[in-house]
Amino acid sequence: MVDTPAPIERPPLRDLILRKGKRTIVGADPQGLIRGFFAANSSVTIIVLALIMIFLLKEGAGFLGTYKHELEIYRRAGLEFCDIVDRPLSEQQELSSKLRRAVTTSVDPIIQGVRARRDAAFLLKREVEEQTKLAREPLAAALEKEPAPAATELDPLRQQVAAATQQAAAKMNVPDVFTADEAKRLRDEFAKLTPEVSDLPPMLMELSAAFTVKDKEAKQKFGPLVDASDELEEAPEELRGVLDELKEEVLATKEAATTHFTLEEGRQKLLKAASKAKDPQEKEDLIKEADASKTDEPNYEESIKPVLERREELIGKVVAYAAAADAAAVNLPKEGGTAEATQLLTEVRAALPLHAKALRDGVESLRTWKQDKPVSIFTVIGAFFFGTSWLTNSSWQDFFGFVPLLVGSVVIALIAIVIATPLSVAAAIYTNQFASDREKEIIKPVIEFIQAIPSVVLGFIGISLVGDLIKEISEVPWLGWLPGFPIQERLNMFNAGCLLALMAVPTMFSLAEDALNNVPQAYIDASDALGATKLQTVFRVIVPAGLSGIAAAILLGLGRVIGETMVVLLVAGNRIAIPDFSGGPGVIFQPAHTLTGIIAQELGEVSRGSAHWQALFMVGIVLFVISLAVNGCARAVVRRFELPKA
Amino acid sequence: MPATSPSPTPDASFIQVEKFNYAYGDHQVIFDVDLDLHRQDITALIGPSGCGKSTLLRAINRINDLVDIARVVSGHIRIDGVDIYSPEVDVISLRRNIGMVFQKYNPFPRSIFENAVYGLRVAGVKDKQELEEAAERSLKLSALWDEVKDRLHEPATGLSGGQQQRLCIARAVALQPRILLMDEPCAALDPIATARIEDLIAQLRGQFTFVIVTHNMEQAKRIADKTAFFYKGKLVEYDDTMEIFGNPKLKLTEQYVTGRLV
Ligand SMILES: Nc1ncnc2c1ncn2[C@@H]1O[C@H](COP(=O)(O)OP(=O)(O)OP(=O)(O)O)[C@@H](O)[C@H]1O
Ligand SMILES: [Mg+2]
Repeated sequence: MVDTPAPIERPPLRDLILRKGKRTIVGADPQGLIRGFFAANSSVTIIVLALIMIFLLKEGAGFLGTYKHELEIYRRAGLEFCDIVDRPLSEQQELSSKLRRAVTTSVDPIIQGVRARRDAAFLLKREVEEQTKLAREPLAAALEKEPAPAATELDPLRQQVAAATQQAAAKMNVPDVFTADEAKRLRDEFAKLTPEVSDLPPMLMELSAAFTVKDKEAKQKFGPLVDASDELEEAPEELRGVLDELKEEVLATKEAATTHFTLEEGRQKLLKAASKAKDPQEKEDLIKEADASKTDEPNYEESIKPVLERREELIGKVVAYAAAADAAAVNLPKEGGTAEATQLLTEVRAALPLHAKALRDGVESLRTWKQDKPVSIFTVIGAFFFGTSWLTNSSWQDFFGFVPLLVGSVVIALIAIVIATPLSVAAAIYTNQFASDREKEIIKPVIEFIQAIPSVVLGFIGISLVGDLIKEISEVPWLGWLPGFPIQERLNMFNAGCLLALMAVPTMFSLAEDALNNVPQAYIDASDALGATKLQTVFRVIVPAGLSGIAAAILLGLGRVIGETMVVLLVAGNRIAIPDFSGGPGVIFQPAHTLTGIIAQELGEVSRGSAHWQALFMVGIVLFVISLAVNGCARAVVRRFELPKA
Repeated sequence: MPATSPSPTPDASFIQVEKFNYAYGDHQVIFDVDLDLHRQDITALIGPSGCGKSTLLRAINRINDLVDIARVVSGHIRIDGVDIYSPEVDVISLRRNIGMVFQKYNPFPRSIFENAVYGLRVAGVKDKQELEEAAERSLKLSALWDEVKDRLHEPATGLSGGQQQRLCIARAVALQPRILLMDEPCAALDPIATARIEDLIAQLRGQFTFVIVTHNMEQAKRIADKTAFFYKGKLVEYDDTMEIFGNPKLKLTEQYVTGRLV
């Protein structure tokens, strides 16, 4: 049995449990010091976070004011007035180019044959000339000489050329668009080529003539189409003429205003320095310098007058052009020469009336437009948060509209999450529930290693590998039914989304795996004991119980993806425009720019404190808020559905 | 009120609960309990579920301080004459000198040896020999030594439930506490393992002051010197075990110990 040691003499309990003189470090309780250390560390992060927020706000805060000022000049100088017409008119170019493409694709099949013959012959001629360059050059040089060299000097050179040319012509590889007889004729004619004769050999002339005839014939066949294309191209010419003159006028006013404000800013600085200067001489110099740079703000009322005087003229041209556009829609032939052409025609026919309407709608605005209408702060806020164009370093007017960037970021993030979620969750379920220990030892470190790949390297892979891969796959004929296939751009949102998904997988995998791990064993035992198979236990008990953790994993993955910069900058294609959603899900294959990408790309190049600089900080603030919100959501989800502690 | 009162005689009350009221937030669960536990006695706390036995037990070593909303409403608990809720009491030393064993055996996922010496390690003992001696002593005290002496460095989770519970007892006694609090120590064990624990408690009698919560009337009868019966947060009756079970003064007690309380 157990041998019980004799009880030892011990001090009374009361002495043990009362506080004694404690050990201290420089008068402080060591426990308290340790606590303080941790408290200090955690508060550092909070303080840093607060500082970041304050810094961002400080830099971004001025934005609304600056942008408001810019928009005021935009209005008062009259740029806004011109844009009423200019904006919708810009669509005309796209429509015109579509029609041109329709013409080309229609005419092409007819003229293809003759054109190929002509081009092949010209190519052969150039080849012969290239091959005989060594012989031709001395002769050409000699012929240039003043006075002309004696025939005895030229003859050996001529002979060399003739010999080389004959040899080259004989070796010529004539393609089979020519018959044997034609090939022989070509050889004979090309054998006689010499720098002394600049006329084309007769056969080439014939081929060119044949092409011209065929081309005319083809154009005649598609006469209405060609005419419509030409008409649409020329239709806005008069309107453009007037508009361009007006634009020049208002731009001059704007530039005067910009110069004035820049100089004024410098002047204020000088005056400030002067007021601080101690030496009276220096003070006087500074004031003098300041006075020298004094300018007046342009008189907007005066400078807009010549523009407004032509208001009715401009309206007249707009109405005329809109009518022409409508007419073009009606006159447009139904059918093109090819399916593609017909498709293009249909598109243009549908777009033209809308185009005309947009212009006509502008007329009312043109009439009521007022230069001195104040720009309210809400307009400015709206122009930033709902502005659809982000246009910088423009010679006309900068716009800082945030929507294209937001849409790019959100679409890319969604693509990434849609791809990464099944991957990481399935991997987590497998690793956590089915994998053998050996498999776990391989899977976990490998997935976690992905995190260690520098994102710039992933960007490389996106540019060189994924882009080509997607493009090639999209060109496989039997996949053509997929939306967006075949794709135009190798660098697009889908490509970026794929890579971001890869980057998000480790985070999401680890968190999801943790969530599954935290499901109390008691639930699993209970389910197993009720006769559930392994799969049933996994999908009826473990996954539902871990769902809040998985949801949090997805949200945190989203946060990671939204904030990622390098990959999107390299791979997303960086086109600053709202992607065209009219084509359905194929939109994911369009390029876009992002909130993070724009900051990384532009912040280094803008001048400190300018509206552009401040706008980028505003974007930063929004990004920051989005990240905070996503993280907050993740926390809320976890807290809301927390499991009872095991 | 002074934290200490004149040192009591050895036989007098060792743990004194005086007019004790205790609450979780606004929900009071112990009402006006007066209870004197004697040195080296084994006292059983019985009563229906939710009557506050565990709460009282956890108030004795102030482990309930860790529950945010738990608070003493009024009254005192004195141990060896010291009011343990007074600011002069060092709560860490208090807990070091009062062992506790929980209903569900909860050894740490480490080796048997590490479990046995955990309390000493956190108390700052580093000497290897001292630790080894303490481990052996406490494992012998808890009657586990013969079963585990060859596998001291294997994980404790590999032991059977009864062995794990005895390891938890060894872990507690390694610190040589004066008081051992046990909250339903056998509730998760089979009768044989239960019997071994009961034997163990019997052997340790006289070395510690035991306070044991149990739902097992037979167990209380077998091991306890005194028994306290609680009902809805109030102490109903406290007496020698023989009296409580053989000759209860109150109807309520009788109904409870004979299993007729509805
Ligand atoms: N951490 C806590 N927070 C809030 N209320 C609690 C907490 N722990 C216990 N209670 C409440 O205190 C009351 C007494 O609980 P206690 O655990 O002391 O009962 P018990 O007598 O040990 O019951 P059992 O025999 O079932 O273990 C119960 O009403 C319980 O709901
Ligand atoms: Mg209890």
